[in-house]
This record gives sequence, structure tokens and C-alpha cells, in this order.
Amino acid sequence: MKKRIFFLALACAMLFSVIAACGESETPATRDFVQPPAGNWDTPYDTPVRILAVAPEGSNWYFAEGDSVNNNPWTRLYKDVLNIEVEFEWTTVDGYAERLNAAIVAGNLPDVFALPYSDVDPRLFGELQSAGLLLDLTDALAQYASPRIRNHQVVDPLTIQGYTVNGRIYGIPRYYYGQIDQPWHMWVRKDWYEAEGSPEIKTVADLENLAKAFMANHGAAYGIAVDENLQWLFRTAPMFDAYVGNIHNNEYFWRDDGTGRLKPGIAFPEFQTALENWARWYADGLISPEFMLMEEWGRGKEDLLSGRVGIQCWWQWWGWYSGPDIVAQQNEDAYFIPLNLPHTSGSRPANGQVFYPNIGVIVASAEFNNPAALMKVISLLDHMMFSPDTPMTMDDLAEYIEEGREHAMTAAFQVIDPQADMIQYKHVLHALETGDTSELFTAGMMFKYNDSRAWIDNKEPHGLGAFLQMGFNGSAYARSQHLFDNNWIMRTAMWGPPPAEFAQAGSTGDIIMEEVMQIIMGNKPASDWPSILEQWYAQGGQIKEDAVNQHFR
Amino acid sequence: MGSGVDLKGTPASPGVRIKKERYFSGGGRIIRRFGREWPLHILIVPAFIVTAIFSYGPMYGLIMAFQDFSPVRGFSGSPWVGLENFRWLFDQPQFTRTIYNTLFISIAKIVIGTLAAISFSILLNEIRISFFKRFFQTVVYIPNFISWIIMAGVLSTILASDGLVNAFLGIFGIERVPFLSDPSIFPWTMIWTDVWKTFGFGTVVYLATITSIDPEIYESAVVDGAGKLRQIFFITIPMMGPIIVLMATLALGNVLNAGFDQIYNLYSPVVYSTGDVIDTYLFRLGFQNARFSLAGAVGLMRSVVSMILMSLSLFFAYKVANYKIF
Repeated sequence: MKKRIFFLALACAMLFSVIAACGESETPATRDFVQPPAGNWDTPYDTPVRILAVAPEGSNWYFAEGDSVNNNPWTRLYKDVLNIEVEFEWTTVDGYAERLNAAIVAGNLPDVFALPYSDVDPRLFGELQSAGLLLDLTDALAQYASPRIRNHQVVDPLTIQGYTVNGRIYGIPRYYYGQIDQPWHMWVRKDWYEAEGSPEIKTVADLENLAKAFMANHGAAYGIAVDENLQWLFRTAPMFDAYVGNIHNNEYFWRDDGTGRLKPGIAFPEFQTALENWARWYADGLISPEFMLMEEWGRGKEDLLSGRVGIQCWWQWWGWYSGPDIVAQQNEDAYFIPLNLPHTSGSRPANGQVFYPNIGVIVASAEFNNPAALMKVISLLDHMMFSPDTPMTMDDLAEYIEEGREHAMTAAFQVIDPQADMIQYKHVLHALETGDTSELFTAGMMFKYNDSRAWIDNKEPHGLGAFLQMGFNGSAYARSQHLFDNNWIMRTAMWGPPPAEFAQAGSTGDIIMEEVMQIIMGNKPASDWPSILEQWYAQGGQIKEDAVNQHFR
Repeated sequence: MGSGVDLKGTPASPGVRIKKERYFSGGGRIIRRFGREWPLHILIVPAFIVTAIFSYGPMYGLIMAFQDFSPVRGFSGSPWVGLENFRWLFDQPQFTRTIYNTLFISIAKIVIGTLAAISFSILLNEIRISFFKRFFQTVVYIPNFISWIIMAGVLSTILASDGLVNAFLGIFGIERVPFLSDPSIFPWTMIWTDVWKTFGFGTVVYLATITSIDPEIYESAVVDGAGKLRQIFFITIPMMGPIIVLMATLALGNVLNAGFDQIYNLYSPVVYSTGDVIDTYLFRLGFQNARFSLAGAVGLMRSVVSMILMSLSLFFAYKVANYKIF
């Protein structure tokens, strides 16, 4: 009897709590079509509108006590400013593509979702569009997005073409932080470099001599860091006028061969020259004999931190990658500083490589009824993060972007200003040089400035990232800007996701990786490269080249 | 029931009557037993459902091996391509070599691993001080519990050109051995490190078998003048026969699984020629390149071959050693 009374009481309690929860929402939002309000992008809806989204994030989100993924400063902002309720059906960092595929197979697409370039098969956009599962966003973009969002098409007219079919736009590119973040630099260990008299590195021979000096005088086990994916090595190719990126991402770096035909970087004779030099580096001990086991975040990084190597070709964000760790493990001058890649001629730096930088696309289900609401949310986020007209104080902004919370501004809605870092770099450097912070108008600027100051004034290791990226005249962005100012830039012709035809090609990446490693290790001569290239073409390279020429020439 | 009258009610011959009596009385027994034991049968239902959902249900997905599958079109909408995926696979030189690599590495692991475990268990059995016996047994068993992710990190460090092993070899003037970067050495590195990691498990099993052998048999052999070696070859090993057959049979069913975790964490493109196995190739092809149908084709082929090998090994185990698992 007691049990029955207990269960009855429990059932009543549950019923009351459900009724109470239902009562919290004054006016329930709807997913049905709602006439968008007349006026600017920031005019709120009269009737609450609901958007159901999914996001490739989550595990790194931080929420204040009582907040959650569906109730945080950002979701409250959408509601307060636009009367739009954003609800995340699910968010996940790992396995986003698999979960999205499962939703697609089950016919259970969310209203809005992102197709991140790094996680999701880039061919998926084309398949969804041709199957009629994506909403045409052309009119909504033209009518309800902010002028800033629409202006991205003017700044970079090519990227949105990748998501335009028969003149209709089916996806809003998420863009990138600026092409200034694309060129890689030669990062050298500062204390060793200065101990060697900070020699000017103008030629490849200069670089090799510096590497040998690090080995002879500073205990480096080898000269130049190379990782298992060969990406660190391939990014040194511009020194020899060769161009190639991450083979696994199909970054073959396509360019005109002079006859109007687009060819991959590996098919140009300069690549064989690069191979010969890399094989010489290996034979001379400049490359670790275990390079094929060097993981970017594992042994490869450990060797940098433990002082086994002092030169690495890498991204502009090296200061975040290894800065605080190396300062903690070595000394406060042991961090690496960026230099432009030298060029065989010695007369100028090597060209900076620019790959297709777009990080993904925002799409909507064909059954989604309120694309205007999507444009409004996208515009609001952009306004908050990148606009000089954000009517918020630094303290207000901090509410939204304090440690970790900025990520709650999700990829499902975030479009990045493709000039963001170029503008940010100039404003932050100006503020650091003059002390005048009045022109720091975005949250990003504020953080980069504060972090740089933290390193300059107090040697706080967390500030190294921003400092090395943009905080002084020799920063990575300063080096990149020098390349852009002089037009020492080479852009890939494949300015878009890999064409669908790439799926028909075989394991072309495997062939390149295996054979390049054999040549570097001296197991095969570099002169074998033309026959290896024939093999690459026979096993799918031709399909890729034809597809690139069909879509991007 | 059991009245000697057939189903139509006409008298039956005595022989027929007996058969029907057995039938009905047997059925009755089953029904009566079920009546008594139904709670136990209910207990097995969840396991049955789980197996059906998670082991048999997903087999439906194997049809993608015969389709040009796309998640957008789904199983019902993806076009059928017959055996095209299999033909494409066998056209790839990389795939055909992975079959050889898989078989070589896998069979070598089974053979050497079995011999190592048998030998060590026999040696261990000869230790008379039980502390040392347990100590060595534990020592060889512990690596079995360490994941290949961690083990790969340890191995890549101690097998490095300036690692512990090469430093040790250097003491004797032996040149540096590229354990993980020389295509001719890499498969053997995989085989021996796997044997080292896993033979402890086999040792425990074989040791348990040896200890269950009747000591009187050894005593009789000693009386007949048999020395230690003769006892091992003519008593211990023959008595271990059924278990060796069982272990080898179970291992044979896994022959196309050369050890994905181990190889994926230790290999590199430079050793693809001898170290790339079906699973690692499948992973690169299916997951990194999103070619689901091809991955499905390889998976199906692997399962079919494994099933055939398992059936053959069961057949030969019965024929040769008169040993039945099922």
C-alpha cells in the first residue's frame, strides 16, 4: 500500500512539473511560416519564431551557472533583439558528420545546420542540393541579411559561387578570418637565433646553415621539423617555386601550366627540385630519421618543446600551438619567431601560398519556413562580433565572449568577416604602438590587444599567441602583410570544395605520400618522379585534373 | 495422447503408434519443461533482442557494398552497381598487396604467438617456487591489458633510432635498426611486438591446461625412464592438443584482422608496401575519403572469407583432432 501511495505521489509530482514547465513560456514560438517584419535586419518579429539547429561544437562550451546550450547569453540575445528562439536539437564535436549523415538517412534534417569543410565531406552540399533537400536562400539573403553580410559577396565574389546553383544561392559561406592568415612562415627558436647573431635568412643555404648551427651549438638533434603528414615539409616548397599543401585534404595546389590547363603542384618540374633538396636534407641529418612518426600534436610537438629542433614551417598561430608550453619547459626566450620563407634566388622571400580558405557553409532544410529569421540571426552575430557599430561597451561584450563562451556563438549561424584579421591586425598593432585603444571596436581586437599586452608587460605565457600573431612588427601577420603588399602571393585555382568527381579517384594521396617518403629517405631517386606521376594519373589523378579543369578553369 | 489411435481416430499399426507416442510424449515434455522454466527463457530474451538489433540488424547495411551509396539518397535511393565496387577494389594495386600483407602478418602472429605461449607455459610449469611462477605469469600477462594507443607511444620511443633498443644494440657494435621505417623490417616489428604483448594470455590458458593433466601419467612415465624432454613431447604437448586446436581455430577466424589498432598507430606511408593491411586501407578509404560503398565491400569480403576460414578450421579440428567446439 505504501508503495502504491509513493508511486501515485511521484506521478502527480511529475504531472505538476510538466504543467508548470509548460506555463513558463508566455507565447510559444512557432516553426510555421511567420511574415517577417518590415524594416531593417534587426527589426524583431511580432510573433516568436523558432529555429531548430544542430552544431558541430559543444564540448568546449562554457556556461555560467544556470545557463545551458539552449539558454545562454547568445540565445537570450536572439530572443530579446529579434524575438527568435534558437534551439539546438543536438551538438557534438566528435562524429558530427556521422550524426548528420544519420539524420539525413532518417529524413530528419534540422532547420539550420552547418557543413564544416574540415569535418564533413565537401561533396555533401552538392548531393543535398541536387536531392532537393536544401532551401533556396537567395531572396532571404537579398532582403533580410544585413548590408555587412551581403557585402562579403563583393569582397570575395568567388566563394559564394561554390554554393550557387543555376544562379540561386543554397548556402551562406562561413568565409574565413582573412587571407592574411594563410601563408606559412619559417618559425625559428628565438634564443638560439639571437645567439647566432640573428642572421638574415635570404636563401635556402642560409636556412640550412642556421639549422646546422642550431645542431652544432645548441644541442638540436636535427635541423628542420617534419611531420608524418609531410605538411610541414610541403609548405616549404615555395622556397623552390613549388606549391603543394596537405595531400589528404586534396590540397594539391592547382595552377595554370602556361597552356591554359590547370595542373596540380606535384606535376610541375619545380616539385622534383624540391624533392631533391628534401632528400639532401634527410641525408645531411637536417630531417629527423623518424619524421614519418612525428604527429603534429604528439612527438612532433614534443621535439619542439624539448629542444630537439629549432626550426619549423607552420601557421601564423604558432604562439598558441606551442608558445606557453615551450616557455614553461625551456625559458621565456625559447619561443619561436616567424621569418619569411627564403627563396632560392635570395632576392626576395618565397611566395605565400593561399589555399581555398572558406571554413564551411550554413544551409537550411528545404522544409524550413523562416529563412528570413536565419538571415537575421546571422546578421546579429556578425554585428556583435565584427561590426564597428556594435553599440556595446567592452564590459557588455565580455558577457558574451568571456573564456569559452564565445563558442556558443555557433557555427550554425556564424559568418566570419573575410577581412576580419587584416582589419584587426592593423588596429591592434596601432593600439600597441601608440597606446591609443579607442579604435579597438571588436571583441577580437580587445582580446588580441590585451593578450599582447599581457606578454609584453608581464611575460604572461597565454599572451604569446596574440603577440606572435600580430603584436609586433616582426609578427606573423606583419610577415604576411609584407608578402601581400608586394604581391608575392600564389593562390590555388581550385577556389572551392573538391568537385564530386574526386570520389571516383583511387588512393591518389597514398601514392604521393608513400613515394615522396621513399625519395626523401633515399630509397628511390628523385628522377623517378615522372614515372610516379604517371602512376598517380593512372590511378585517379587524371580524373581529378579533368574535374578541376571542368569546374575551375 | 499416446492412446494408440492416429490423428483421424483410426487404429494405427504398432510401429506407427510407438513413433506417435514418442512424438506426443516428447512434445509434452518440452511443453512441461517450458512451463517450469519459462522465467529462465524470459531472461534470455533481452540478450536475444540486443543481438538481433546490434549484430544482425546492421547487416542490412551490407547492401551498400552493391550500391553507389550516398547518405543523401539512403539505402533505398542509392543506385545498384552490382559487383562494381569489388571490381574497382581489385583493380587497385594497393588493395591486392594489403591482402598479402594481412595474411602474412596475421598468420605469423598466430603461429609465433601460439608457439611462444606453449613454450613459455611449459617452462613456467617447471618452476617449482610458486612465488616466481606467479610473478612471471603476471609479468607476461600485464602487457595484454595495455591499449595499443599507449603501447604504440612507448614502442615508437624505445624503437626509435636513438631509442633504448638501438642504444642497447649499439653497445655490441650493431648498426642502428630502423624498426618502424624500413619496409622489410616493419612487418616483423609488428609480429614480434604483438606476440610480446599478447602471448601472456595464451600462457595462462595453456598453463591451466598443463596443471589439469593427471600427475600419475608423469609418474608412470618417470617409472618407464622418460626424461623431462620426453615427458614434454609425449605427454604435455599431446594432452594440450585440444586446447591448442581450440585456440588456433578461434585465431584463424580472425586471420583477416591483422591488428588495426597496433598497425594504425605505428605505421607510416613509408612502410605501406609491407605494412598496410586490409583494415588500415579500409579506414583510409572509407572514413577518411568517405567512400562508404567501397568500405562496405571490403568489410563484406572480409566477413565472408573469415566465415569460410572459420568453418574450414572447425572441420579440420574435428577431422584431425576429433575436437568439436559446437
